[in-house]
Amino acid sequence: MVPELELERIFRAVMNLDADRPVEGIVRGEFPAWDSLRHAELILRIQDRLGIAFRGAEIIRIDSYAKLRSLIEARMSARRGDPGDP
Amino acid sequence: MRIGLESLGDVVDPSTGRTTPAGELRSRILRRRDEYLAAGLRPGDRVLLRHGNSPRFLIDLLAVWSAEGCAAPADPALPAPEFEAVLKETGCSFVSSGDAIRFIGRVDCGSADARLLLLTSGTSGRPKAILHSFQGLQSRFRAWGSRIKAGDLSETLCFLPTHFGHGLLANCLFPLLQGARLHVVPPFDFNLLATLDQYVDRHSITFMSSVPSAWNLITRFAESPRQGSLKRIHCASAPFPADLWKVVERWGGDAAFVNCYGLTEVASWVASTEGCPGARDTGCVGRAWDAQFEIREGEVWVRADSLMLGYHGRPELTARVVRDGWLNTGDLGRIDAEGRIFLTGRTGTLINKAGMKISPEEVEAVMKGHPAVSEVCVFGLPDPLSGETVAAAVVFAGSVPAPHFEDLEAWCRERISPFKVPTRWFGLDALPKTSNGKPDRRSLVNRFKEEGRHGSGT
Repeated sequence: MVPELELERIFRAVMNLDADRPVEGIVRGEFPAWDSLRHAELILRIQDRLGIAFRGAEIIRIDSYAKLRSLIEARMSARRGDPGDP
Repeated sequence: MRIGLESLGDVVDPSTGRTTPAGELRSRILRRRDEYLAAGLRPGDRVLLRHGNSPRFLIDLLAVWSAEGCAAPADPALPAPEFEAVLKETGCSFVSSGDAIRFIGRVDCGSADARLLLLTSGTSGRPKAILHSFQGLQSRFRAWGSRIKAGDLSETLCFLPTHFGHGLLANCLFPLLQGARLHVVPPFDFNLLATLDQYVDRHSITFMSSVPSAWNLITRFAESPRQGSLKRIHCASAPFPADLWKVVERWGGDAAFVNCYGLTEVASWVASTEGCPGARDTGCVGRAWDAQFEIREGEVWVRADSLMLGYHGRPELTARVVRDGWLNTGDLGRIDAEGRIFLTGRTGTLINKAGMKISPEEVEAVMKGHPAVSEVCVFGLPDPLSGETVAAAVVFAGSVPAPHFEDLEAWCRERISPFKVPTRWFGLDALPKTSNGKPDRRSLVNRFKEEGRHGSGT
């Protein structure tokens, strides 16, 4: 499955979101269901399913779906060796 | 009997970086005590403390004790309906959020010796309010102090909730009253756990205790501390997986790793694996720690000087679980010839999520209040992070549109502690029943333990 679609699937499953609920604007501090345990589960599932290892400092910075998606995209680009990516 | 403040240590607030030295701590406790007395607090009055995990909370609790009151720490995240229920259940006359002290009416509780009230989930759906005397608490602190060197506690970190026996008694008050410098942070802060090595190294932490799910997270995400400051790390409150043992030991370096067993009813740890051969064996919680254990018909009973005074307002329940000074722990187990205690299961239905006990009946009682819910059964499912998580199988009434599970979850969050809210949902046409007509939790667990987060089950 395309990583972005898989990410959204994981996010919806962990946060118990309905299929028609937009994810792009979800921010951790504003979404009560996104607590510490769910944040940990989210990180673990992404690591296991997408093979991405997060560093401690990165985990702290993930506070929205948008930031999470950007981080994953950057990692995937780097893995593919796309020019100009970190 | 009064609590002695002479040997208090310092308290560090990591959110501000400020250390409150012991002398200032004592002054602030006594000032707060005077505020309680001015508000009308009398000996034996109970104070619900609606905050936690901060220096201000510790000052508040010790002030209540200095005024000879009874402190009742409550989960600060309780939504209003549950908070009101807790207030009724605990017989509190005052509520404190750390600043204002609110008198809500004098309640004659009849337990003049009670100095601490801790809430835990009950199997009938009502929380149990456990009462402890200073005498009982001091006996437990003395027991721990006889085995744990003061130096090992010199820089203690607590990231467990302070409304929880393990966190408050073992990881906060015991070290603080022994003169430790105590760092107290918000509970289960994943950002902290993921970078715990940095905090440990920066502050030369020597001691901390937590639950297996937190150790699982820490060892997966945080690097090992490098400075070698850790002297002792403990774990308790939930079964400890044997395969995690080596991982935690490796993470902790030269620190002694000790698995403990305890209950709120006996003021936390009453057994430990310290110096116990075969401690990593599945289910082993070590040997008695200033306590006595017996097995009666497969159930674990314990006797200790730190036994609770009883459950507030529940004399019949107290009489059922305490007999001649022995407490029925609710655990199944055995004791081998060397005195090692092994736990093999639980007698009741309580869900153990990351060390916190949750009553399915309590959650069901709330959910049955939803207009779209016809029947509901709440049960625990295995979870790789928290050990167990809360699941709900729901039969919707046909008379109103069935809500999305997301909306049902949000509805629950407005009524019960976030920790108790189900995270896995299943919609059914009918609940399976036992031969006496009750929902069959066991069959639901067997059916759904392999499934995803929610499903129709039809």
